[in-house]
Amino acid sequence: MFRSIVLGLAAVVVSATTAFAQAAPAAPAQAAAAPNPFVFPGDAGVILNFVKADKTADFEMVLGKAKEALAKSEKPERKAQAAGWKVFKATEAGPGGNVIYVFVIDPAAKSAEYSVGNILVEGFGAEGQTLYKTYSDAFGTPAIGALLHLTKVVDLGK
Amino acid sequence: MLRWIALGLLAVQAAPPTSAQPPNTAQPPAPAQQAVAAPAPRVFASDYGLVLNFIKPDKTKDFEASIGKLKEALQKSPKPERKEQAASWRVFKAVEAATAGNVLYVFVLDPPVKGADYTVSTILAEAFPNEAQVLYKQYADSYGAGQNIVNLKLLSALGK
Repeated sequence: MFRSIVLGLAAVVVSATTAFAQAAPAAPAQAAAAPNPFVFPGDAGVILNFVKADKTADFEMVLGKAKEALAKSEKPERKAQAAGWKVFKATEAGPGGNVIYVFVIDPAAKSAEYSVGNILVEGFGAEGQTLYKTYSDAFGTPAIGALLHLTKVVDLGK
Repeated sequence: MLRWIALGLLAVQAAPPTSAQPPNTAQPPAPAQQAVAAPAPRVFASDYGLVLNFIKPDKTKDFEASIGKLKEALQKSPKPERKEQAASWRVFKAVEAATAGNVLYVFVLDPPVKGADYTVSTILAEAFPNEAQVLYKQYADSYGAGQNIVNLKLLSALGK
Protein backbone atom coordinates (compact mmCIF):
# COMPACT_ATOMS: atom_id res chain seq x y z
CA MET A 1 0.00 0.00 0.00
CA PHE A 2 1.29 3.41 -0.83
CA ARG A 3 0.95 6.18 1.66
CA SER A 4 1.95 9.79 1.55
CA ILE A 5 3.92 11.23 4.40
CA VAL A 6 5.55 14.50 5.07
CA LEU A 7 9.01 14.54 6.58
CA GLY A 8 11.23 17.46 7.36
CA LEU A 9 14.38 17.71 5.35
CA ALA A 10 16.85 20.45 6.06
CA ALA A 11 19.15 21.11 3.21
CA VAL A 12 20.99 23.82 1.46
CA VAL A 13 18.35 25.24 -0.77
CA VAL A 14 18.68 27.80 -3.45
CA SER A 15 15.90 29.29 -5.51
CA ALA A 16 16.26 28.79 -9.21
CA THR A 17 16.42 32.52 -9.80
CA THR A 18 18.75 33.18 -6.93
CA ALA A 19 21.01 30.37 -7.96
CA PHE A 20 21.54 31.92 -11.32
CA ALA A 21 22.11 35.37 -9.90
CA GLN A 22 24.48 33.91 -7.39
CA ALA A 23 26.38 32.12 -10.06
CA ALA A 24 27.55 35.43 -11.49
CA PRO A 25 31.20 36.12 -10.80
CA ALA A 26 31.58 37.20 -7.21
CA ALA A 27 33.85 39.88 -5.88
CA PRO A 28 36.89 38.40 -4.16
CA ALA A 29 35.55 39.17 -0.70
CA GLN A 30 32.26 37.46 -1.52
CA ALA A 31 33.98 34.48 -3.02
CA ALA A 32 35.79 33.90 0.24
CA ALA A 33 32.61 34.24 2.24
CA ALA A 34 30.65 31.27 0.99
CA PRO A 35 31.36 28.32 -1.23
CA ASN A 36 29.33 28.00 -4.39
CA PRO A 37 26.53 25.55 -3.60
CA PHE A 38 26.59 24.29 -7.17
CA VAL A 39 30.08 22.91 -6.73
CA PHE A 40 30.24 19.42 -5.24
CA PRO A 41 33.64 18.94 -3.66
CA GLY A 42 32.69 15.54 -2.24
CA ASP A 43 32.02 12.28 -4.03
CA ALA A 44 28.53 12.97 -5.28
CA GLY A 45 25.56 15.28 -5.17
CA VAL A 46 21.81 15.21 -5.34
CA ILE A 47 19.49 18.07 -6.23
CA LEU A 48 15.77 17.73 -5.61
CA ASN A 49 13.64 19.93 -7.88
CA PHE A 50 9.93 20.55 -7.28
CA VAL A 51 8.25 21.33 -10.58
CA LYS A 52 4.70 22.49 -11.27
CA ALA A 53 2.62 19.67 -12.68
CA ASP A 54 1.64 21.73 -15.72
CA LYS A 55 5.19 22.82 -16.42
CA THR A 56 6.96 19.49 -16.69
CA ALA A 57 7.19 19.73 -20.47
CA ASP A 58 8.92 23.13 -20.15
CA PHE A 59 11.26 21.80 -17.50
CA GLU A 60 12.18 18.74 -19.55
CA MET A 61 12.64 20.83 -22.69
CA VAL A 62 15.13 23.07 -20.93
CA LEU A 63 16.98 20.09 -19.54
CA GLY A 64 17.27 18.84 -23.09
CA LYS A 65 18.88 22.13 -24.00
CA ALA A 66 21.23 21.87 -21.03
CA LYS A 67 22.26 18.45 -22.26
CA GLU A 68 22.90 19.94 -25.68
CA ALA A 69 24.96 22.74 -24.16
CA LEU A 70 27.09 20.28 -22.24
CA ALA A 71 27.59 18.12 -25.31
CA LYS A 72 28.70 20.98 -27.50
CA SER A 73 30.90 22.65 -24.92
CA GLU A 74 34.61 22.61 -25.60
CA LYS A 75 35.41 22.69 -21.91
CA PRO A 76 36.63 19.32 -20.65
CA GLU A 77 34.91 19.83 -17.31
CA ARG A 78 31.54 20.12 -19.04
CA LYS A 79 32.07 16.70 -20.62
CA ALA A 80 33.04 15.32 -17.23
CA GLN A 81 29.92 16.82 -15.70
CA ALA A 82 27.68 15.34 -18.35
CA ALA A 83 29.16 11.89 -17.87
CA GLY A 84 28.14 11.70 -14.24
CA TRP A 85 24.87 13.64 -14.34
CA LYS A 86 21.55 11.86 -14.60
CA VAL A 87 18.06 13.25 -14.32
CA PHE A 88 15.31 11.18 -12.75
CA LYS A 89 11.62 11.73 -12.24
CA ALA A 90 10.08 10.46 -9.04
CA THR A 91 7.25 8.00 -9.26
CA GLU A 92 5.81 9.63 -6.16
CA ALA A 93 3.98 12.94 -6.28
CA GLY A 94 5.58 15.87 -4.50
CA PRO A 95 4.09 18.44 -2.17
CA GLY A 96 1.17 20.41 -3.59
CA GLY A 97 0.97 18.09 -6.58
CA ASN A 98 4.41 19.14 -7.77
CA VAL A 99 6.51 16.67 -9.69
CA ILE A 100 9.88 15.80 -8.16
CA TYR A 101 12.84 15.68 -10.50
CA VAL A 102 16.11 14.50 -9.03
CA PHE A 103 19.51 15.34 -10.40
CA VAL A 104 21.97 12.66 -9.42
CA ILE A 105 25.58 13.70 -9.85
CA ASP A 106 27.73 10.66 -9.35
CA PRO A 107 30.59 11.03 -9.49
CA ALA A 108 30.83 14.79 -9.15
CA ALA A 109 33.32 16.51 -11.42
CA LYS A 110 35.63 18.19 -8.93
CA SER A 111 35.51 21.98 -9.01
CA ALA A 112 32.91 22.01 -11.79
CA GLU A 113 29.91 24.27 -11.33
CA TYR A 114 26.49 22.70 -11.89
CA SER A 115 24.30 25.79 -12.23
CA VAL A 116 21.87 25.09 -15.08
CA GLY A 117 21.61 28.83 -15.73
CA ASN A 118 25.30 29.21 -16.34
CA ILE A 119 25.40 26.15 -18.56
CA LEU A 120 22.54 27.48 -20.67
CA VAL A 121 24.04 30.94 -21.08
CA GLU A 122 27.42 29.45 -21.86
CA GLY A 123 25.87 27.27 -24.54
CA PHE A 124 23.28 29.58 -26.03
CA GLY A 125 24.10 33.15 -25.08
CA ALA A 126 21.03 35.38 -24.92
CA GLU A 127 18.74 32.48 -25.77
CA GLY A 128 20.10 30.82 -22.67
CA GLN A 129 18.65 33.64 -20.58
CA THR A 130 15.21 33.01 -22.06
CA LEU A 131 15.57 29.29 -21.53
CA TYR A 132 16.56 29.90 -17.96
CA LYS A 133 13.45 31.97 -17.36
CA THR A 134 11.35 29.08 -18.66
CA TYR A 135 13.26 26.77 -16.35
CA SER A 136 12.81 29.05 -13.33
CA ASP A 137 9.11 29.52 -14.02
CA ALA A 138 8.60 25.77 -13.99
CA PHE A 139 9.48 25.53 -10.33
CA GLY A 140 6.54 25.13 -8.00
CA THR A 141 6.39 25.62 -4.27
CA PRO A 142 8.89 25.50 -2.77
CA ALA A 143 10.52 27.36 -5.65
CA ILE A 144 13.81 25.93 -4.67
CA GLY A 145 16.14 23.13 -5.35
CA ALA A 146 17.42 21.20 -2.38
CA LEU A 147 21.09 20.42 -2.73
CA LEU A 148 22.78 17.58 -0.94
CA HIS A 149 26.56 17.40 -1.00
CA LEU A 150 27.46 13.77 -0.44
CA THR A 151 30.51 11.91 0.77
CA LYS A 152 30.66 8.18 0.23
CA VAL A 153 30.58 6.13 3.41
CA VAL A 154 30.62 2.64 1.99
CA ASP A 155 30.10 0.75 -1.21
CA LEU A 156 28.32 -2.39 -0.06
CA GLY A 157 29.60 -4.43 -2.97
CA LYS A 158 33.31 -3.71 -2.48
CA MET B 1 22.15 33.66 -1.28
CA LEU B 2 22.56 30.43 0.55
CA ARG B 3 19.85 29.72 3.02
CA TRP B 4 19.32 26.93 5.47
CA ILE B 5 15.66 26.25 5.80
CA ALA B 6 13.49 23.41 6.84
CA LEU B 7 11.99 22.05 3.71
CA GLY B 8 8.90 19.90 3.77
CA LEU B 9 9.52 17.04 1.40
CA LEU B 10 6.52 15.02 0.47
CA ALA B 11 7.45 11.55 -0.45
CA VAL B 12 5.66 8.32 -0.83
CA GLN B 13 6.86 5.35 1.04
CA ALA B 14 7.16 2.20 -0.93
CA ALA B 15 6.12 0.11 2.00
CA PRO B 16 3.83 0.42 4.99
CA PRO B 17 5.22 2.48 7.86
CA THR B 18 6.03 -0.57 9.91
CA SER B 19 8.62 -1.62 7.40
CA ALA B 20 9.50 1.75 5.95
CA GLN B 21 10.76 2.86 9.31
CA PRO B 22 12.51 0.84 11.92
CA PRO B 23 9.92 -0.58 14.29
CA ASN B 24 9.87 0.77 17.80
CA THR B 25 10.10 -2.57 19.46
CA ALA B 26 13.32 -4.45 19.64
CA GLN B 27 11.85 -7.49 21.32
CA PRO B 28 11.98 -10.57 19.14
CA PRO B 29 8.49 -11.68 18.30
CA ALA B 30 7.34 -15.11 19.32
CA PRO B 31 7.24 -17.58 16.43
CA ALA B 32 3.52 -17.27 16.02
CA GLN B 33 3.83 -13.50 15.88
CA GLN B 34 6.65 -13.48 13.40
CA ALA B 35 4.44 -14.39 10.51
CA VAL B 36 2.09 -11.58 11.41
CA ALA B 37 4.69 -8.99 12.30
CA ALA B 38 7.13 -9.68 9.47
CA PRO B 39 7.67 -6.47 7.57
CA ALA B 40 6.36 -6.25 4.05
CA PRO B 41 9.17 -6.66 1.55
CA ARG B 42 10.68 -3.37 0.47
CA VAL B 43 10.93 -3.74 -3.25
CA PHE B 44 11.98 -1.11 -5.78
CA ALA B 45 10.34 -1.38 -9.17
CA SER B 46 12.09 1.68 -10.55
CA ASP B 47 15.30 2.47 -12.43
CA TYR B 48 16.92 3.99 -9.41
CA GLY B 49 16.19 4.18 -5.73
CA LEU B 50 17.02 6.72 -3.08
CA VAL B 51 16.46 6.25 0.63
CA LEU B 52 17.03 9.25 2.87
CA ASN B 53 17.85 8.18 6.43
CA PHE B 54 17.66 10.73 9.24
CA ILE B 55 20.05 9.63 11.99
CA LYS B 56 20.52 11.03 15.48
CA PRO B 57 23.83 12.91 15.66
CA ASP B 58 25.01 10.90 18.65
CA LYS B 59 24.17 7.61 16.94
CA THR B 60 26.07 7.91 13.70
CA LYS B 61 28.70 5.41 14.84
CA ASP B 62 25.98 2.89 15.66
CA PHE B 63 24.34 3.47 12.30
CA GLU B 64 27.61 3.08 10.44
CA ALA B 65 28.38 -0.07 12.42
CA SER B 66 25.00 -1.42 11.35
CA ILE B 67 25.82 -0.61 7.76
CA GLY B 68 29.06 -2.51 8.18
CA LYS B 69 27.11 -5.55 9.34
CA LEU B 70 24.70 -5.09 6.47
CA LYS B 71 27.60 -5.19 4.05
CA GLU B 72 28.92 -8.33 5.72
CA ALA B 73 25.48 -9.91 5.59
CA LEU B 74 25.11 -9.22 1.90
CA GLN B 75 28.56 -10.57 1.12
CA LYS B 76 28.18 -13.80 3.05
CA SER B 77 24.71 -14.56 1.79
CA PRO B 78 24.40 -17.62 -0.41
CA LYS B 79 21.54 -15.93 -2.28
CA PRO B 80 22.63 -14.56 -5.67
CA GLU B 81 20.27 -11.60 -5.40
CA ARG B 82 22.01 -10.43 -2.25
CA LYS B 83 25.29 -10.19 -4.17
CA GLU B 84 23.49 -8.25 -6.88
CA GLN B 85 22.01 -5.90 -4.33
CA ALA B 86 25.40 -5.24 -2.78
CA ALA B 87 26.92 -4.48 -6.16
CA SER B 88 24.68 -1.48 -6.74
CA TRP B 89 24.01 -0.27 -3.19
CA ARG B 90 26.09 2.60 -1.90
CA VAL B 91 25.79 4.67 1.23
CA PHE B 92 26.54 8.38 1.34
CA LYS B 93 26.57 10.94 4.11
CA ALA B 94 25.35 14.47 3.44
CA VAL B 95 27.49 17.42 4.36
CA GLU B 96 24.30 19.31 5.20
CA ALA B 97 22.59 18.79 8.51
CA ALA B 98 18.98 17.64 8.46
CA THR B 99 16.20 18.95 10.65
CA ALA B 100 16.61 18.75 14.40
CA GLY B 101 20.31 18.24 13.98
CA ASN B 102 19.89 14.81 12.48
CA VAL B 103 22.53 13.52 10.11
CA LEU B 104 21.37 12.54 6.67
CA TYR B 105 22.60 9.30 5.16
CA VAL B 106 21.53 8.43 1.66
CA PHE B 107 21.20 4.92 0.26
CA VAL B 108 21.73 4.96 -3.48
CA LEU B 109 20.47 1.94 -5.38
CA ASP B 110 21.74 2.19 -8.92
CA PRO B 111 20.03 0.20 -10.17
CA PRO B 112 17.81 -1.60 -7.67
CA VAL B 113 17.61 -5.34 -8.19
CA LYS B 114 14.15 -6.10 -9.48
CA GLY B 115 12.08 -8.06 -7.01
CA ALA B 116 14.76 -8.09 -4.30
CA ASP B 117 13.80 -7.22 -0.76
CA TYR B 118 15.79 -4.30 0.67
CA THR B 119 14.44 -4.53 4.21
CA VAL B 120 17.58 -4.13 6.31
CA SER B 121 16.18 -6.07 9.26
CA THR B 122 15.44 -9.04 7.02
CA ILE B 123 18.94 -9.03 5.56
CA LEU B 124 20.55 -8.81 9.01
CA ALA B 125 18.35 -11.57 10.40
CA GLU B 126 19.17 -13.83 7.47
CA ALA B 127 22.89 -13.58 8.07
CA PHE B 128 23.04 -13.20 11.82
CA PRO B 129 20.03 -14.98 13.27
CA ASN B 130 21.51 -15.16 16.76
CA GLU B 131 22.44 -11.48 16.85
CA ALA B 132 19.45 -10.20 14.95
CA GLN B 133 17.74 -8.65 17.93
CA VAL B 134 20.79 -6.74 19.11
CA LEU B 135 21.79 -5.63 15.63
CA TYR B 136 18.35 -4.46 14.78
CA LYS B 137 17.96 -2.56 18.03
CA GLN B 138 21.21 -0.75 17.34
CA TYR B 139 20.06 0.05 13.82
CA ALA B 140 16.53 1.13 14.77
CA ASP B 141 17.61 3.21 17.74
CA SER B 142 19.92 5.28 15.59
CA TYR B 143 17.02 6.81 13.66
CA GLY B 144 15.98 10.31 14.60
CA ALA B 145 13.22 10.86 12.09
CA GLY B 146 12.73 7.77 9.98
CA GLN B 147 13.23 7.48 6.27
CA ASN B 148 12.07 8.90 2.96
CA ILE B 149 11.98 6.48 0.08
CA VAL B 150 11.94 7.76 -3.47
CA ASN B 151 11.48 5.57 -6.54
CA LEU B 152 12.97 7.19 -9.62
CA LYS B 153 12.62 6.71 -13.35
CA LEU B 154 15.48 7.76 -15.56
CA LEU B 155 14.57 10.74 -17.69
CA SER B 156 17.94 11.58 -19.17
CA ALA B 157 21.59 10.75 -18.81
CA LEU B 158 23.14 14.05 -19.79
CA GLY B 159 26.29 12.43 -21.09
CA LYS B 160 24.57 10.03 -23.51
